[in-house]
Amino acid sequence: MGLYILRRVVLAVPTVLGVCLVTFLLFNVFASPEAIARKQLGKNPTAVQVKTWITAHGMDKPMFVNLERGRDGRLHPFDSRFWNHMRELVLFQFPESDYLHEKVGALLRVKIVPSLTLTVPAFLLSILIALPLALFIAYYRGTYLDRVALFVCVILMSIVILNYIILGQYLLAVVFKYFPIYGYEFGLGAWKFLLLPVILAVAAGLGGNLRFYRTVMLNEVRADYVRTAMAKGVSEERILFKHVLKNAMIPVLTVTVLSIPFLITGSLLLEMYFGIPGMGNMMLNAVNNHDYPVIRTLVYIYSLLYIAGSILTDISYTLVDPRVTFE
Amino acid sequence: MLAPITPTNRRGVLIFFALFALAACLSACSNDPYAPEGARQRLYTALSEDPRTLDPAQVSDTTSGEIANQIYDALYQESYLDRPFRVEPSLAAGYPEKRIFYEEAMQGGVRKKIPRMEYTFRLRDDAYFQDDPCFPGGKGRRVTSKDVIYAIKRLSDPAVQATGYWLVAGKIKGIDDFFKNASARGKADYALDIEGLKAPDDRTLVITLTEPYPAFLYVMSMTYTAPVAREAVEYYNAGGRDGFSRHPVGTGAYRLTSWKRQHRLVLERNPGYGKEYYPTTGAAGDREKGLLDDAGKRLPFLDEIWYTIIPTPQPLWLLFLQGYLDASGIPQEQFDRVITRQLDLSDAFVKKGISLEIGSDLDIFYIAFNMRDPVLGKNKYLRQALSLSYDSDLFNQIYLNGRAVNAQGPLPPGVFGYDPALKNPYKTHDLAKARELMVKAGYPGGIDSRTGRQLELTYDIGADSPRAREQATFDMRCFEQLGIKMKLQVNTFSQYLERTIKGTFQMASSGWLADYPDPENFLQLFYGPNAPPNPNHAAFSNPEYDSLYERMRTMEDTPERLAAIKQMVAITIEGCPWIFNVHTPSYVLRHAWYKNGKSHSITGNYKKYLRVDPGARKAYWRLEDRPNYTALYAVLGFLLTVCLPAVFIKHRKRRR
Repeated sequence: MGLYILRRVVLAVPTVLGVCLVTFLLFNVFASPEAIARKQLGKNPTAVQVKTWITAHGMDKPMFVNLERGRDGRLHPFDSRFWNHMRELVLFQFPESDYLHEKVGALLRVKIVPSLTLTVPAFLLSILIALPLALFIAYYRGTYLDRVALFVCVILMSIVILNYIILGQYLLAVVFKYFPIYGYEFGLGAWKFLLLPVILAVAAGLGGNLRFYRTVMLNEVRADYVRTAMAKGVSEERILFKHVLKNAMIPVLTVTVLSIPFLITGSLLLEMYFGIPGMGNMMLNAVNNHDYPVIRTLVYIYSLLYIAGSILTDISYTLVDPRVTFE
Repeated sequence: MLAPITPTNRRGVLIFFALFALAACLSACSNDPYAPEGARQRLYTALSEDPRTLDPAQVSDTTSGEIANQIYDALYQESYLDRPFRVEPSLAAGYPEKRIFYEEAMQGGVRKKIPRMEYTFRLRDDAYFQDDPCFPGGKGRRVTSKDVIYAIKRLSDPAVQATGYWLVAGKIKGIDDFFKNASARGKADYALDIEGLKAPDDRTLVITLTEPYPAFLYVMSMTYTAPVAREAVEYYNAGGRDGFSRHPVGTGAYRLTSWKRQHRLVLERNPGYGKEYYPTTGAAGDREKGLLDDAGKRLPFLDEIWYTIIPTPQPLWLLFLQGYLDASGIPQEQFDRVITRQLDLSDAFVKKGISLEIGSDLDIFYIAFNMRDPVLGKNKYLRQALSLSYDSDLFNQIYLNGRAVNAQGPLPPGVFGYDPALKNPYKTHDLAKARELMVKAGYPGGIDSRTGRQLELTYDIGADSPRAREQATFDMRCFEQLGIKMKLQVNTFSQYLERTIKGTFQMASSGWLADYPDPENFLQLFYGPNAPPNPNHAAFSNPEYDSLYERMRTMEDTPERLAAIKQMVAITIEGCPWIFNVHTPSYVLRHAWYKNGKSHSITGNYKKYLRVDPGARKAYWRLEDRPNYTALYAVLGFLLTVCLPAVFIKHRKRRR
């Protein structure tokens, strides 16, 4: 298994480098250093101030290869904007935010917690609610309840998350006044602000999850071992909850494990609409304020998390299905 | 009788406890987003984004300015109630002594007697920095004139990345040399003196200007020139600490207690704040509005100010309606619901005790022509025709609910020199006249008479939002009525800046918000030497205008100054480097418990004048924010009704 993971990690390196290259080109081709400096320096900066800002941010250096001799009289070919960008990302020496004047690493450490307090309960509850419900519907397959559930699932899937947020916020926080509309509190007091976004996150994913899990369960229900168990007189509940559930875990894991690393990145829309100061909010803020150091760091982290998610998924197969090996 | 818990009834017990927990959870739920305030006077307000910085030398955006202004007092401040705007002493003990004297100096290769202006400021004795660990024993020390000099020197230090140097550049004698020296070294040497900045003693500050510049008092009322304690900068910028931009140490009525990025920022009353009292006089009508009820009382009134960062308008509006924000603007989509056709507050809001104030923002929105463009720059008739084709009134109706003022010139209402009777002959939306001018311009019907080809112009905008695109489409439709083909160039803000700096645009949508309420702040936008990369984006150049500007900026608000301003405005109208679009007013709603609120278009230290009535606010919360559980029970009942028959049928099937 160790060798397999090592191979996957090595194969991921070109992907990550590609992401770094693309982000570098995007942020260095579409805006000149002068325009970025003037944006950050406010009204009427002098030419000297612009130049100082550009120098302080290393934007006066050549794009890819530095062919000029340094103050020590020696060549430093890798002292260029591209290599500095790559070094910062690869060595996790993240730069300072242009907007908040704070190291991106320090900001990330603060932002991860609110994001996780939202995404982890939403993720767990989605599974804990959708899986038993799917089994419940599978148990009642063919009845009107099954048909109604499917119909409701298709409706739930057809509504975009923004509508859940706006409608949920309006009904549950404005009309019925069960929850605060907006805000957050660090520490234990956070639960009050997280209830509504978590409910909405679960509701928004429920239709799709339920339908997917139900299909998986029904595929398993038609398997030979289920017929054998029924012939042996095993109760339907036992068959579903003990045998079918376990065997249906591979496709379920594929979907769920892949999303685990992304719990860190938070939910952009939910965080924005409910004022949760997490990673999603940070990304949005960075985009709105053209805070390139934050954007490029987050893009890099997202790419790493995506790769970590796909490796984790492969590993999880072996844990639930002994037939899958790394050979 | 109690029954033993057996496997059969264990499930029932679990369900019972789960339901009990759910009920307990729901009963604890409320929409109140705040911790209990106790007896403290707390103001709940919002910011649309995080402050970029709280270093007074770097503050350039309104959000950072709003916070920094409450923490840092400058020598002067904008008067809170008086209109027209006026500066009054804050940390200074009275107005400065002014002296104009002449000095022989070389100007344009000729030796001349040049007028200089000397200001002598005296500082108040009770002005202290807030208590902070950067001071010995954590006790804030008294403010000295050297702290003001240090603050101004910081503006000239490239290492500080200050955004306010332009305000003093070329104005304070010797500051340009200090700046050049600092630029050459990469950082300033604070031991070097600046000729025009002298501190004869701790309480006296003498500033010599290169020329008379009456607007300098406005500069001395900005956070940029607020005294800064050197020990605070050195303490917080030392390695391992977060930086001075996040640890403000000021002299204002409030000090920072917590700042959680993208969440909340809290200020609390500065216990060491000097003696300052609520104004005893105000503008006409202020007494009737109750704005002088607190006259002569010691400031500040509020114990805490809670700023919640809310980037989107919808939650902000809803929180205001629930009473969890004390004041709000009006979102565009809510305007017709809130404001009647007579521009009054609708009854539903009046019944809630909400009040409306209509103020005026010192701003102008315009479309700039690039005067260096070969097609537009040399063709005055073409620019005038385009201006005549533009319908600001319709723009105002569609996008600003008809509340804006149709701009006739560069100066907004409320600024010295603004003439409400001014009629710009090229702002009449007269298509027939515009088409006549198109003929004169050499483009009859939008066709180039020399080449026979249709005239094509590019229109730049600096935002990629649907609203910005929609407005740009409106603008272009106006111009297309003249037979011109318009092409939209949508930019990110950085791209937009780059195109305006390099002058690679033809027409661009833009706006300007006043830094201080002096006409010079607007008229500089047409001054030739301020061409790009400076803020004269149109690169307008007119020797007569430039000479008038140089004279006007040195004058007090006299009839001579007014005459010069009128001439300058006339030049901009005839030269038509801009299409003057609109000046926007501000509509502010306030709850009944919000006292002493008065709109101010220049950012300032006004929170100290505000007061709230927490009892009235709590009463509002009790009335408006009681949860309604009926709907929840109805939904649960519905779900049970749907599920139970299926369970029952399945159960019967199994038994059979």
